[in-house]
Amino acid sequence: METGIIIVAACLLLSLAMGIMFQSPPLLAALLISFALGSVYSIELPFLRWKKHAFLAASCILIARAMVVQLAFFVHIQKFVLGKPIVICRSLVFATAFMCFFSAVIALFKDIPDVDGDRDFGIQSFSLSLGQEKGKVRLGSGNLTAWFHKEKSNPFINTKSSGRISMAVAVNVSRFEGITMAPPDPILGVSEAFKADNDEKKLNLGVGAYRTEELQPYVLNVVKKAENLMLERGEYKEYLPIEGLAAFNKVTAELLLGADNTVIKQQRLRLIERYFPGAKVLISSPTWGNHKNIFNDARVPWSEYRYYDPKTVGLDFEGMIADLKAAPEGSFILLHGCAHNPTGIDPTPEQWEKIADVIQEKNHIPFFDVAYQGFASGSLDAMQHQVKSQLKRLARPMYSNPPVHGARIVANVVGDPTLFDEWKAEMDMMAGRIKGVRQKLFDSLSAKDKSGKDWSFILKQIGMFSFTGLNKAQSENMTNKWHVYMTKDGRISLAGLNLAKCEYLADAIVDSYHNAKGLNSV
Amino acid sequence: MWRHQLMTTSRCFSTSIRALHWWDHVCPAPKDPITSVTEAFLADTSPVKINLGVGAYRDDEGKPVILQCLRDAEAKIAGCDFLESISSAVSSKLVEESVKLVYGKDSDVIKEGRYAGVQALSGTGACRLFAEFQKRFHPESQIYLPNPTWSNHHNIWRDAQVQQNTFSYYHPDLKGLNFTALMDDVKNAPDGSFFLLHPCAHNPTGVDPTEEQWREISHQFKVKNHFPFFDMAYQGFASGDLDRDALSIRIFLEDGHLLGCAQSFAKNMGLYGHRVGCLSVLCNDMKQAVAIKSQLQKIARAMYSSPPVHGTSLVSTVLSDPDIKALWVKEVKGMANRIQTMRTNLQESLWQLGSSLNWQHITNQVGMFCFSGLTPKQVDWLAREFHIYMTHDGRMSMAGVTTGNVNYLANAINEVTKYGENA
Repeated sequence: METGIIIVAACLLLSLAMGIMFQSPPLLAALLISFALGSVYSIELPFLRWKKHAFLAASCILIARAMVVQLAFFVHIQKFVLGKPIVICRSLVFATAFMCFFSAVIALFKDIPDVDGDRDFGIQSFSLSLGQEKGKVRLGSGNLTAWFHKEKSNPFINTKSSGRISMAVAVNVSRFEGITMAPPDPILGVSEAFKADNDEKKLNLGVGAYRTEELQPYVLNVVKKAENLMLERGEYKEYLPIEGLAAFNKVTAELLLGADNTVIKQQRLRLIERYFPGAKVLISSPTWGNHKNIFNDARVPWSEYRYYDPKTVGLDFEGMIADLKAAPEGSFILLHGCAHNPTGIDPTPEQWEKIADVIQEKNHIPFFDVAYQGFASGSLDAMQHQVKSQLKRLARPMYSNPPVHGARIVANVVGDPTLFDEWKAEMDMMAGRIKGVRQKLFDSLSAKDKSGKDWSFILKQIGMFSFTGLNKAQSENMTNKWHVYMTKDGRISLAGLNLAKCEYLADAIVDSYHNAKGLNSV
Repeated sequence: MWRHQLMTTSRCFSTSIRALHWWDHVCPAPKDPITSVTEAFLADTSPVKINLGVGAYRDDEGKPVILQCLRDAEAKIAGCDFLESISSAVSSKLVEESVKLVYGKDSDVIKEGRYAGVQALSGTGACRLFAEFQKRFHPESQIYLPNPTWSNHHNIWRDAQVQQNTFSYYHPDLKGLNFTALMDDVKNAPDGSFFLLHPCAHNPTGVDPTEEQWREISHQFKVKNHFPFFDMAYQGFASGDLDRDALSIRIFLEDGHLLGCAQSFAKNMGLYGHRVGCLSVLCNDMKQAVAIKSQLQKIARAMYSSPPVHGTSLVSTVLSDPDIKALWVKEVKGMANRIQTMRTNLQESLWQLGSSLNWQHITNQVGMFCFSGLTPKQVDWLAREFHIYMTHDGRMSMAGVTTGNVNYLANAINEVTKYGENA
C-alpha cells in the first residue's frame, strides 16, 4: 500500500513540476484537471469516489481521455512547442470524436470482468446493472478475446479443407471464457483463510464444527462402534431408494428431526417454488449464510423478518412479531428449531407461543431448520404420501438417491437402545464442554473489561454459536491483529474454542470492541 | 395452567385441520420408470423372479458384489478419524485421480492443469451441476440429448430449466446406430449448441459409434463449434479396458475440444449407494480453471454444501494405491467379461430354442444394457406371467442375467416374441 502511495505521489509531483517548468498553461491545466478528476474518481470521501456511480465514472473517463488529453495537448503542442496558431483542424475533430466513442466503450466494458468484486465493494457499474452477458455478448467482446488469444499448439490435423484452420483458431476458445471467480463463501472461506495463516496463536471460530478441548475434530464413539458393526456385517453399497434408507427415515422422524440437511431443504423449497409459485419465504435477520443462496438458487423470493437486536444483543421480539403480522397471508416462515445460527438467541417458551399465535392468525406455514438438536431441542414435521412422491420426483434429477453410509450409521445408532443411550451421553458431554467454555469466556471478559459492559449475553445464548455484537471492522481486527478467525457478522463458533484459549480470546474481543475502527453496535 | 393446555390443544387442533389443507393440491408424481421396476420386483413373491431393471452389477448367483479392492480400501482407511466436511486434500485427490482416469494420465490438459474439477454426487449430481452451470452462464442455450437416452437426463436438464432437444441416435430396425441421421442433426443444430454424448456403453441401447464414426463426429463438432458434454458412467464396462472405453473422449481431446465430463464410480467401483462422482470442464488455462471451479463449488454449496466423505475416501484410496488399483482394474475386467459371457449365452439359447428373430444385437451391443426391441406389451407380459422385470422401453440389464436363469429368460423371451412383432 505504501509503495503504491509513494509511486503515485512521485508521479504527481514530477508531472506538475514539468508542467510548471515548461511554462505551458494548457499543459499545466491538463495535468491539474487530470489530477482533480483522478482524485474525485478514487478518493474515499463524502461526495467523492465517483467510480461508484456508473454515470459519474463514465463522465470522468470521457472528460479526461477524450477532451482534456486531446484539446489541451493539441493547444500545448501547436502553440507552445511548434509556435503555430491554434486552428481547429480535421485531425483534432476526428481524434476527439474517436476518443469520445472509445472512452464510452471503455466505460461500459471495463467492469465486465469483475462484476462480483464490484458487487462486494458496492460499486454500481453499468456491467453490474446490465449484467455481464448483456454487456458482452451483443458487442462481441468474446470475438475480441478469440482474435487476440494466444493459441496453444492444437494440431488441427483432421481438417478436410485448409480453409477450416482459421475457424478452428477462433473455435478453440472455451465456451466459458470470461467467467469470474465466485466470491469466497463467507463461512467456508474463513477456514481457508485460517489454514493459510502461519501464526501459532491462531484460532478458528468460523465453521460450526465441534472440536474437543484439544481443538481436534471429534468422531463420536457410537459412530465408530456403528461403523465397525457395519464393517463386520459387510453391508452392501447398493442404491438406496430415492427417499432413502427406511430405517433412517423412521428413526429420524421418531427423533423429531424432520428434514435437517441442506439437500432436503432444497427439495422442499423447490416444492414451494413449484406448487406455490409467487409465495414468499421470510427468513430471520440474520440467518445462516447459505439460506439466501439456497433460496436464490431455488428461485424462491425471500425477505427478512427482524430477529437480532444489536442494542440488547438479544431477540427483537416486537420487531419479529410486527414483521410476521405484516407479511402477506400464507407466507412461509423459516424458523430455527433451536440454537439459532448465527446468533445463538432463541425465543423463550412464552415467546414461541406468541409466535405460533401470529403464524396461525396469518395462516402462515412454518418451516423449521433443525441443525443442532441435542445442542438444544427438536421439532415436528408431518409428511403425506403426495408430498413424499413429489419430493422424490425433485430428488431424482438432483442426486438420484441419498448416500448410504451416513444413513446407516444414524439408523444403527438411533435404532439400537444401547447405542442410543451412549449417544445421548456423548451429546451431553459435548454440549457440556461448550457450556463450560461459555462460562470461562464470560468470566475472562468480565475480569478483563473494565468498562462495565454487560457480557452476560454470552451465557444466555444457546448452542454452538455466539453473536458477539462485534461489527465488520472489529471482526476484521480480530483476524488481522489477533489471528482469530470468525465470520464478519460477529459470529464466533464456541465449538472451536477451548478453556485454554478463553483468556486470549477475551483479550482479543476487549481490544477489538474498544479500539477497532468502526461504529460500535452497543 | 389447564387453561394454557386447553389453548395449546385447541390451537393444535385448529392448526392441524388447516395444516391438512396445505398440500392438498399436490398430486402424486408419476413413478420413475427405472426405480419403479425394482419396486415392482421387490413386491413380487415368485421364486423365479428376475430383475433386469436397474443397472447394478450382480455376480453369477444374482447377488450384489462388494469388490475386493473396496474391502482393501475400507481396511486401509478404517480408524481414520476424520469425518468432517470433506477434507479438501481427499477431495482434490479424488478429482485428480478421476480426471487422469478419463483423460489419460499423460494428457496435456492434466499436465497443464487446464481443467476445473469438482467432486459430485455420482453421475446424476455431476450432470445436474453442469446443467445448472450451463444455465447460469449460457442462459439462452439448449441441450441436445440423444434419442433415446437415460430417462433421468431429461429430468435433470428440465429441472435446471435448460431447454432440451433430441438428436437421432438409435435405429430401431437395425438395432444399431443411425449414423447418417445423427450427423444430419449435428449439422442442422445451430452453431455452438450443447450436446450430451455417451462415451461408451450407451444407456439404454448399448449401441456405440465406431472409432471412425467418433472421429467424424468430433470433426463436425469442430466445424459447428458445438460443446460436447460426456456422461461417463460405465468406463471399464464396455470393453473391460478402462483406456479403451475412454477412446471417444481422447479423440475429442486430440482435436482440441474444451469439453465437459461427468464421471460416476457407482458401477465400475460398485459404490452405488455412496454417491461418488466427478465433474470436469476443460479450460484455456489455469486461471480460467480456478474461476470455473469456484463457480461450480458455489452452485454445489447452495444445493448440498459438501458431498459425502466416506465414498470419496474409498475411491481416492483405490485410485492412488498402485496395488489396490491394479486389483480394481482386474475386477472391472472380470465384471465386464461376465456380462459379455451372459450376452453370448442368451443369444445362443435363443437360437437353440429356434427363435426366428434376429438376435444379433444382443452381442453387438455393448455394456450393461441390451436394448432388446421388446414392445411395452411384451414387457408387461414378461412381468405378469414370467416374473421378469425390465423397463418399458425393452431395456434389459445384462448384469441381472446369470448362468442359473439365462435359459429361463431365453425361454420367456421366445414365448412372448413367437407370435407378435418385435418393435
